[in-house]
Amino acid sequence: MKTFRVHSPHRTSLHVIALKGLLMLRKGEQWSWVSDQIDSDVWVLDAVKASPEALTDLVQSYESCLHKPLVVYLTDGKLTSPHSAWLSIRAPVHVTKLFQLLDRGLVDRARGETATSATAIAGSQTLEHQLVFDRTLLESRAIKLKQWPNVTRYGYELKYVQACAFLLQEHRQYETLEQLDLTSEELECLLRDAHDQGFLDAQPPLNQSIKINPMPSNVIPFKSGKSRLSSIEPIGFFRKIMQRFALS
Amino acid sequence: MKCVVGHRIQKRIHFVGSFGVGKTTAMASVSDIPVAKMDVHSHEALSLDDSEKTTTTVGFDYGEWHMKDEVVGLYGLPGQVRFDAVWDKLLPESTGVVMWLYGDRPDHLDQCAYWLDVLAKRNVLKSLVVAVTRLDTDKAEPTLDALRALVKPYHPYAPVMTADPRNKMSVIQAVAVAASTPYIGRPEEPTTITN
Repeated sequence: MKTFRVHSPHRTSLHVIALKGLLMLRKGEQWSWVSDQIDSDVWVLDAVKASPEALTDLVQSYESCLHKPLVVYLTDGKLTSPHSAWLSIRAPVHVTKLFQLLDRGLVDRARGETATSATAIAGSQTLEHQLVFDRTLLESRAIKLKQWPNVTRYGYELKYVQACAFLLQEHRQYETLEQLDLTSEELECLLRDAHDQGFLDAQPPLNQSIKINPMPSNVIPFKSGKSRLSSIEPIGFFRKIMQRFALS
Repeated sequence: MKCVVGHRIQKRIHFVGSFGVGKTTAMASVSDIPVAKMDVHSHEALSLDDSEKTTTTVGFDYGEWHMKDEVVGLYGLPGQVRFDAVWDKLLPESTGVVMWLYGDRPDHLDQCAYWLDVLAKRNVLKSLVVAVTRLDTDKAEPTLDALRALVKPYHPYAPVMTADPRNKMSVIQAVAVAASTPYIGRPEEPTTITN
């Protein structure tokens, strides 16, 4: 059983309490909360709760630590991390995303890579580990959804179901996604949400182990309407549902 | 006169879920014909203190979608285990399964686990969607995340979504997810959200 000592100056924050609850779900690990900053492995900070002065003090304390803790900086999406090595995570946190980042951060820390997290992860070749979504980094990459997102959050239109099914089947070149029936803004929103939830797998195109599937050559991209909807490798029955209901 | 022998049903969508969750309502929202109901008055309905439901399905509900070249059968299965003979008969012929769950009840994870087991035993997980009702979509992710973790050992893409059985397009969307889910087989080892 691995034991981690966690420190938070914002232990009454609901986001911190929720994160504490999530940490308890991790198997083979014990997370104890300590009041001593220096003697802790992980810090959990709530950006909204922290005053600028307190943040300055925390940065100084962090810099003075001989063994740098892993710092989880819970943000509302607007406040940026005051230290490049801190892990910024938008609250409320998604369990999958949090665990992915923690796994990587803790492994790196165990290796003694003190400047883990943001800087190291941002330098990674895999977008999966990027903290902040950047659409331009997807270009020329092979993209795949790992799980179904909750498509209802975009409304009841079937084009989102179609796009997700397409991205779930196999790795797709980013450029082929332009032929889906989503606007660039809708596509970016879908991919951003999937990234934030840890559902997006984006691989460099040079990775030969990943089979990249462009749009079939016999498929002609259409400009609009039903014909365009039916051009994206439909699955038999789903195609019929699209034809019957997509524009009703 | 055209003579028709048998029926034209080629595909079957099954709605499953616990008693009173809204399967019959969902079918009524989307069926092209009036839903044939096999409801009787139920004392169990009285236990649903937040519902006006007074009946339960004892056989199955039946509706249809009329596609261009075929008829799709919509089946609402009874929710109680004493009707498992109906499940045995109908589920193996399924084209897609929509599992309806209450999102606002404390036993939704237990209910999901129960129905996953029912479906796994009848080998009908391939085209599954878990449709969760009574959840505010904007605040649903923690609930959905827990359900995804539960579903993932059974279905690698964990198709879980919020849905409203009263809304036609919402029900159609749920069926569309079930129909379009690529399935690469059940993972050999159950995967979890932890290491």
